[in-house]
Amino acid sequence: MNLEQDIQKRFIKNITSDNLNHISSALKVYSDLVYYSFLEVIEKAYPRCCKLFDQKSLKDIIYKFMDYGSYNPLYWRVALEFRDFILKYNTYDIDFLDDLISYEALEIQMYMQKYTDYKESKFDLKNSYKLNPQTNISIYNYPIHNPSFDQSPNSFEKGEYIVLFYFDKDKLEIISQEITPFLKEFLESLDSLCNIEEVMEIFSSKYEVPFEDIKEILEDVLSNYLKLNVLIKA
Amino acid sequence: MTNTPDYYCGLGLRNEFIHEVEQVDFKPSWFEVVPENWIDINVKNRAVFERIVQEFEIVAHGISLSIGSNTPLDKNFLKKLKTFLDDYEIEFYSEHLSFCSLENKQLHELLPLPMTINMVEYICERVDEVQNFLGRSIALENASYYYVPYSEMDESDFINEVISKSGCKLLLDVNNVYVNSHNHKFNPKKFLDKIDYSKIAYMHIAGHTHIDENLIIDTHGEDVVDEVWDLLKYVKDGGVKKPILLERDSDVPSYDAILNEYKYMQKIYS
Repeated sequence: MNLEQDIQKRFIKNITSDNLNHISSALKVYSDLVYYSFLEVIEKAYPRCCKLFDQKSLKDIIYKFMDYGSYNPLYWRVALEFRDFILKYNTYDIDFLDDLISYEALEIQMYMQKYTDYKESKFDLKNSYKLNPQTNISIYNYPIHNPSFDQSPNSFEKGEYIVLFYFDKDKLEIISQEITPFLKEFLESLDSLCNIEEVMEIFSSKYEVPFEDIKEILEDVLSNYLKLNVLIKA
Repeated sequence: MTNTPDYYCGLGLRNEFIHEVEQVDFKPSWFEVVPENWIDINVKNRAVFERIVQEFEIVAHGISLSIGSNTPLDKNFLKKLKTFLDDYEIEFYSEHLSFCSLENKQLHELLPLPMTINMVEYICERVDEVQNFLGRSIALENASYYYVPYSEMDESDFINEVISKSGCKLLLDVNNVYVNSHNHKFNPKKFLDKIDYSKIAYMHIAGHTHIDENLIIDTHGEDVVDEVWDLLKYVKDGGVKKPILLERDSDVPSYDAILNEYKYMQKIYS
């Protein structure tokens, strides 16, 4: 098989190079087919990121990614390999690119998860709840979850933006929602050791805020999160 | 594809129209699914996919096994594939007589094999390994190709040798025969005359894209052309009574339009 392997290696080397001047028209067909396979996967997975680049720059990125290598046969995992490649070698002058590609990749990962459908129960402050492990809380430097971000990204300030991702089983959609640092901390501190009321009391003394104020701020939010399976019984 | 009626017509199941399958009264007889698209399922399509798999006979048609590549078979992928086939009780699996990865690097495109005696022997070993691993017999599809990296034999001999020596079945893609005959200037009917029809498990038919007078590409992105329907009739007149499947993978039109083409296939292939 040495002959065959050499032939295959040479063939692949020719069709994955972005310098196509030296290859025959038949090899150019394969070069285009491979390139467009990658392009299709990446454009479908990262529509917002791809819009940041002109055609030539995107082509350059994709050839660099092909050289970096894709090792997974499943297309949605190739999209994640592309994210890893960008995060590792991002040399592009776009401050929010890492955030945006991470955000789009997380949406893909969440759409590809298998979700447990928890039985609906009535929210009760005396119960213990925890954050559903099938949700995600991520922190970004730019408000890329904002629907108007893409129209004028430079008008938004760099900061700390906390985004909760969850699966809405009725809409069959992944929802992303900005939350406060306080709510993040509260949600992440929920466990089976304390009921909700007890956690509110802990936060009340920690932040020196009256218990009733915390209850008023959080009760409806948490009750709604329970309906949405963002919270589950601990 | 055993114990199926003669001229049994099927359709490639695609994300683009999966939700319409349940909404339209007319149903294809069976569906083919690409396991790489369904091993992990987008939550939007999971429930409907599982209902369709329960209701219809399903054949799996892979695209990334890379039977002709130089590296050991990807056992991790094979495990996922076997779990998928077992979980959904899919008995039949087909792949392509090609390669799509080298030294584990995926190219995500079906690439032409050197058509040599060594390659025939190598593929036979790999077919054996895959069949043993999956616990199923498989079929290999004659691939479209635009370049011949190296050959010691012609394509029909290469296919016949692989199929007869490996003991696997042939998935005869009629459009690929047409595409190759156009691009490499041979007579498709003479090519088909050399194929061992007794080894056919089922067939594919699809559209292609005309680039120029010397080049057409197997895109599955347009309607099937008359010349390809004629080739199908030629195969049928040659005595083949095997299931056939209509593929559409890019520029997927409305489900109604796909079903019209499916009905046309039924009309001429029955």
